[in-house]
Amino acid sequence: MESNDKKIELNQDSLKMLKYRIYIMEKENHKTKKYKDNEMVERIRKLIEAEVDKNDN
Amino acid sequence: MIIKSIALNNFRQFKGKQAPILFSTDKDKNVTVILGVNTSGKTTLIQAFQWCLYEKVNFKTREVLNIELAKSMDLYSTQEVYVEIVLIHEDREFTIRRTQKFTKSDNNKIKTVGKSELKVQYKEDNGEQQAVPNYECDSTINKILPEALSDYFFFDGERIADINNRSDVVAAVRGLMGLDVIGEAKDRLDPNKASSVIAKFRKELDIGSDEKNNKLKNDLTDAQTKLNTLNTRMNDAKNEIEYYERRKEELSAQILAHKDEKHNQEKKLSLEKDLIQITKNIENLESRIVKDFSAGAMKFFATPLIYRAMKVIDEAKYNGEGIPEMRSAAIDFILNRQKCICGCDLSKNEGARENILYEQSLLPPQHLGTILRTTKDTYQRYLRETQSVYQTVLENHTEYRNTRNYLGEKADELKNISAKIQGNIDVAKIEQDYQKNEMILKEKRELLVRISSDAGAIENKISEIEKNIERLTIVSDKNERLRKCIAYGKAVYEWLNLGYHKQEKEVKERLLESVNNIFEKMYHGKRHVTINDRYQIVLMTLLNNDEVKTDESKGLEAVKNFSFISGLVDLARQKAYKGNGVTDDEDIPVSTEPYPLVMDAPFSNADEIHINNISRIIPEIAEQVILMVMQKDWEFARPALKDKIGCSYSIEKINNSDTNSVIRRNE
Repeated sequence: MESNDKKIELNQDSLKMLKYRIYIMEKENHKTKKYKDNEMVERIRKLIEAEVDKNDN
Repeated sequence: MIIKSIALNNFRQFKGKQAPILFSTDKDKNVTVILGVNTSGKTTLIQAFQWCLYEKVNFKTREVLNIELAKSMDLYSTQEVYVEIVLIHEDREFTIRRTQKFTKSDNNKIKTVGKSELKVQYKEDNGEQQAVPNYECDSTINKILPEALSDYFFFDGERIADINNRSDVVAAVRGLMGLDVIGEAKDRLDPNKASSVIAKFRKELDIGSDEKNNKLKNDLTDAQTKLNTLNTRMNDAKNEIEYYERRKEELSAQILAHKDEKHNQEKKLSLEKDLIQITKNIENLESRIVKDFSAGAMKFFATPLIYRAMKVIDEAKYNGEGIPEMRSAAIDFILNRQKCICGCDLSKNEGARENILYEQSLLPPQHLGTILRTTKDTYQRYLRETQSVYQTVLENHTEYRNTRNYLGEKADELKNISAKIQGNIDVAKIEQDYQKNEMILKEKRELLVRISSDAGAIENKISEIEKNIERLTIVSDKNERLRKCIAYGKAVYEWLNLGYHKQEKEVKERLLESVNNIFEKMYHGKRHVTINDRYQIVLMTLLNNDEVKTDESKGLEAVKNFSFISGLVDLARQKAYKGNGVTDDEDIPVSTEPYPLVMDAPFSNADEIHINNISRIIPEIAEQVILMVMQKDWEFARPALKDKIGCSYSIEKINNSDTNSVIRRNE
């Protein structure tokens, strides 16, 4: 088994985008209460995955 | 948010369809004044806002239908109450109307017909009205002005004293400043929470199928769950401590306010005990007097007779004295047996027999001398005893009279003290509650320390497990992707966490600055304001170089709370202008809306100087001010507000009725 201790480089534009989109998503949901807690967790998770996948491709 | 108008139909005093009140939306002349006498409907107007937006009212009777109309309704007929508000929010015009139908039923009772109907519309950029779907109406209103914050912007001046002591003040300030949004976002990403985004990514990491490795994952989930529980308990403990600290302040204030009351209550208690004891003493004295008198009464009343009898005895002539207590029959007995008590045989001793016969002749009935002498002795004893009965009764009576007087004095004292004691406030009970509260507070603080320490240990454990998992994570594309996701999630979490603490610190500092600035403009004295961790305002003053908390008069309390609300509005407005849209990379783009201040009887507890000061400051701070005031208060406020008034209205009672008012615009 290979060791896994290399540092991950983050794309700053992606990070900035994620910060903005997660915050806006939360702000919107705070007012509308449309999504439940677990749904919001899922939405954030998908948002992060999409951003990571976009960078990898 | 700026309110353009409100229209009422059959809402409480406002019978029939009223012409809409158009509020001033002019930035310079941003004050709308609504004048009215008591019970004309000023408070009803504030309630109309709350009812339309949130369907909440604060009347003793919850019915919103005009009473006159309700009485005149025919059986089974229906009537409609509605309130319509037009407002501007984020540059968009919204029309919000709540309608409730009522009918008169068989038993002549007014009943609502179904639930109230809420309609929200907004104006498109092209001017067309667009309806918000029914299921989104409440959330749209909550977007415009969250219900939890509404009491801070639509408020009753007579109840302003409570505004800064409410338990939701922390949540309100955080909500107003947008901190609750950041808080929620940060919680959802928190790596230490088992249900967070980051925890979910971690669970998916492939660390091989080894049993030990899987156990690590399970340990991590367990530890995170434990930490969650501890954090919840920690929050509960903090909230409880907050509650008991607030309670402590309330009880201290009560104890201080009722300091004299306490003294009076203690005095009253002691007097009540004294009265019971004195009454018992009086009862004892009464029975003693009766007992002593009963024992000597006969002799006492017979005294004149005794004197007369003794006089007769003294005057009686009798010679010789017989043997005391000896009876003639006893002598006969001795003579018959012929043997003296000295042992002498009387049949053989004639001299002795004669002597005995002589003694018999001195005894009754042959002779009264002995009887008279014995009677006189008895009477003399009676007289001696009578003398002591008189003395005893006299002494008892004197003591009885003095004790009764003392009882009267104590009863008067008790009456005076009781009159001084207000209501039924039991200060001793308050002090007991205070001590009890102190004990609970101590326990809760110790509990918090224990939980914090446990949480710290679990956090260390989580960090250790995470390191182990990281070490064991297999190099694979899937894991690589997950590790990237975790890294992004952590970076966003750290940004939010940092931003949250930075913003909260800034909010507190700026709120303090804003409140102090406003307070100084309204109040000219030595006091200044501080804000505690619960965003509660405390007035401080310098005493011998020490800052001490000071007592507040009603007027000063009103000024303090006005400063707090104005500070909030001011801060929200500053943020709204500064924070719309995304700022630089490091700052969280917090944004808020400017809010209006809608106030009923805002000057109730303030004196004329403070009315003037408050009137000067508020239009400068709030984007829009709507005031409902009484004419007498308005006289003091008008000079300061005259250049700021955009429009004014008067509420007039029709035929001086408390159930029918109309609103007219003043020209």
